[in-house]
Amino acid sequence: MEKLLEVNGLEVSFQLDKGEVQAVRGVSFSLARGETLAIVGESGSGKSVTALAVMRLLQHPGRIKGGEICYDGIELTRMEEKGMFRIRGAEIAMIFQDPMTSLNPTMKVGEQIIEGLRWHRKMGTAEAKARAAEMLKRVGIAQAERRLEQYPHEFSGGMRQRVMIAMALALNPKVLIADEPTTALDVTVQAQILELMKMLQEETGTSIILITHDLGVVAETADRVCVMYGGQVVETGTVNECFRQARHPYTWGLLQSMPRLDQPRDRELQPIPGSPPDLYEPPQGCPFADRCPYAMHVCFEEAPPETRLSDTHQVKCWLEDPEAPPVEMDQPFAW
Amino acid sequence: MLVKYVMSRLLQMVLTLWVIATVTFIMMKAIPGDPFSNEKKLPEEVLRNLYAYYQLDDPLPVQYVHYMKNLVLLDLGPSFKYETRTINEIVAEGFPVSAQLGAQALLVAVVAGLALGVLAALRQNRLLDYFSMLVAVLGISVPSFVLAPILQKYLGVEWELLPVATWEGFASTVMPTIALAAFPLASVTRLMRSSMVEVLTQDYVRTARAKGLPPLFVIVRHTIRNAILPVVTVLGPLTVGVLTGSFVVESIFSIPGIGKYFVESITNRDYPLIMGITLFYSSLLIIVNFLVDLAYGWIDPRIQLAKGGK
Amino acid sequence: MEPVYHPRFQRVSRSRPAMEAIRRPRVSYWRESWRRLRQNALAMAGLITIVLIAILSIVGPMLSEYEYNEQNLQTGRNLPPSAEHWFGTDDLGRDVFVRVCEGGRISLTIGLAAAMIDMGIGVVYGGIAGLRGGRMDEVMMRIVDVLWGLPYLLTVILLMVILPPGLGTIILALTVTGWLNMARLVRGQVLQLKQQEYVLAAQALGASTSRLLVKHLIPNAMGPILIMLTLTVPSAIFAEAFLSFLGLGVQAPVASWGTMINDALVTVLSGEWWRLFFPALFLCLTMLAFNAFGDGLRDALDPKLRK
Repeated sequence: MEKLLEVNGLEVSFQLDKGEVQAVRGVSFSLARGETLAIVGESGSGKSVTALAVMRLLQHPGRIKGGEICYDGIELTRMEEKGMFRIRGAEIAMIFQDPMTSLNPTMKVGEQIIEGLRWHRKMGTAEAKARAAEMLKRVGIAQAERRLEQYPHEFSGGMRQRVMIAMALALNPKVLIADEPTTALDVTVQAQILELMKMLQEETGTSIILITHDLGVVAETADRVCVMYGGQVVETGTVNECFRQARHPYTWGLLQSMPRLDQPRDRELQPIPGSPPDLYEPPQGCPFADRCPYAMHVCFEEAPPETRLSDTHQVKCWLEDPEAPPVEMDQPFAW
Repeated sequence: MLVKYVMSRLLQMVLTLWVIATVTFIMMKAIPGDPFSNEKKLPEEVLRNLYAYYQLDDPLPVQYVHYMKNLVLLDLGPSFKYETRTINEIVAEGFPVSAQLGAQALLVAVVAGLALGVLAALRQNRLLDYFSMLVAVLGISVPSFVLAPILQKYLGVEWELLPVATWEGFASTVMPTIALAAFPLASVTRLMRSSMVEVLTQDYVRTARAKGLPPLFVIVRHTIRNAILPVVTVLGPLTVGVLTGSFVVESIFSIPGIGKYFVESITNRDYPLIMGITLFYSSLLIIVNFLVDLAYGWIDPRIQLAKGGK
Repeated sequence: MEPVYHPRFQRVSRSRPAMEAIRRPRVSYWRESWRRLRQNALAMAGLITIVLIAILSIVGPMLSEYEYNEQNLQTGRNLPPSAEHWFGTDDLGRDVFVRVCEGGRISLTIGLAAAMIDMGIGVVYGGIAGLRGGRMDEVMMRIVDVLWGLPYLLTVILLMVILPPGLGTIILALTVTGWLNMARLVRGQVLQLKQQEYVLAAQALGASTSRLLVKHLIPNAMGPILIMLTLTVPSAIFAEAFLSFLGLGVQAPVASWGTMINDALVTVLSGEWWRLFFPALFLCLTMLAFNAFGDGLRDALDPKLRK
């Protein structure tokens, strides 16, 4: 499949008074046309920072320290800020976690959709308004013309996220980055929003990068998965590979901390003990070693190499080393 | 709902005004001795006016009703010092001058303060930021009655750039305007900077940037517009500050406004004039505050005045 | 037989509690705030300036052989600063240094007293309104709203005109409506904290009202109260100087920065700069120091900024 977006060895750090926080440490992934890639990880794993870096939206003191981001043959990390105004919104659009705060509270919803259309497509007001109304209808908002004249506080959380989606897709972007689009919503609304995103993707062929910590969401929507931990991608593969043939103990931990219907009901959910590494001083070995029940001495000393299990499935873990003791996931975590 | 809110606010305003008027009345009566007969010998004519106005021979409640009736009719009564003029006339004469000076100062303060605040927030921890913070700190720490003589000494006396102590033409308004604008300018700068800094970190600003809108567009439409809201709320208190500041600034620069009359009335212990001007300014400020609240509800769609937007 | 692995590939055994151990040390709110305050150079400069001015005001008059009201009309009028008179003398031959120190005593006394009284009344009033709520709160806040409409300095001026002059009168006039700010703040804090989930949680766990007050409400409302306290001091000092400037503050021969500045206005033309400069400098420095310290305190106590 043709690669639309390729990220290679991306490094992002935040220069703070206390020192440098290396939030993203050599992340690589690619995205094909029409595909949905899920980036999974707990908070602090660097997934949102990665997304913001792709949009070149990092705020001071954050900056891209290394690596490349290639969109449709264009290298974005070296692009001038001016050029990014043509990419953002029009080519790569983004929706955010909290629909309650992501819309400008003092501006009518219609205005907020229209301004992008006017800037990128040089549309007249009437034309832009018509397009905005059309988009609201497509995301399932009734009485679109009237709703355009309302302010965000007159919408519910789910409706606002629909507005965000309408706003993001109004310009037919080729890539949509959705940063935890359902986390702040009620469970019933979550399903509706995911359904809507899937439907719109089929209609438009947009590629989606879905950032989430919820494996349920991944199973439902994604084609491929990147599992991030401590600013690195620890395992990547198709949904099937990551769910059924996961090789990284962290992925196992994620899977075991998720309730599942196809498991006996009395199976206990297993939380992963401990907390993510301090990225002021990232560990020199595997970032997960501290919390890994299978950790070996080598894990603390040296970063694990990437092992290719198939064309699509790669994992960074010392357990893949031929010298390591064999470990299987299906034995429940033994402490 | 809006009508109900306006009504309740109006009621509250009337209550506040009534409190002021009553307190003023009680104070007039509480001044040790008879305010109209002790200390200075008052001219016969003034005394006659005062007696006619206050009906000093009547019992207190009757005097009170009479006094309130006059106030409702917007009659502030006669003055001690100025034999031939009523307080109404003095206010009518001085107010245009004070209003011009006050409006000029407020305009300078708001326009320059907003600009400095915005620029400081956009250039955080850079030279311009430090400069505007310096302006803000000095403006808050240097009272107008210190700033005014400094301006007079240098701009007026030493370098002879501007006229001292006259009130003719625009040039003579420059120094008083600066002296009066310094404090509100500093407040607006500080408030606008912190408000901008906060808005800049809001999610919706990131959304706007993610839309690919150019920075100037994002700053004007999404940041400044929202950051200005808190500044609107302090317009009331700022007006109060300018007004009280005008007392000293007008006296220092000998500007024939209400403030100068007010300070003179204090020195002369011209009680009716003190009370009259206090009443006049209190009412003015209460009305300004009310209008500012209404304006705020109108600017910010989230605030529903009916629900008691504070 | 157990397979033997290279030592590098041997399992590391750890207990679960060790893995759950919290890596970063916990820092208490007040200690962390104090640390941040100390790092704020401007705030610390303000604090030091306040202390220095306080010491000078107390000790200064003892260092000098002159009294603040001691006149020297024959030979000592309008003398420039010298070894004899450090800050020069005024038009009545009084020593400006001693008078500035004397003014400092008055300014600081008034500033601190007014701020403390405002806090006392405000905390009690706002606390009762916020804790009781309902009808009581309604009535109490209506009263505050009506008084709130009174312009602060105008009210103070009015009171000063009526009441006999003196230090006590100034403090009284400044606090008559000054406590409203604090009462509103405290009530707001209490109402907000009452709705916080951790307070609800404490209630659900059966904490008594007094325990709630001591353990949750007071420590959490303390920050904003302290900040307002610090920022009330300079506004009270300003108000006193303003009143004295208008001739409504302390009465001659007592020295106040405000009266000294007013008396020195004539020097703009006549040129005895020291008469204006020193009181103005000390007034501005004091206001600056309190404002800088208050701002620093606000930054240090605002938990939103904690990283």
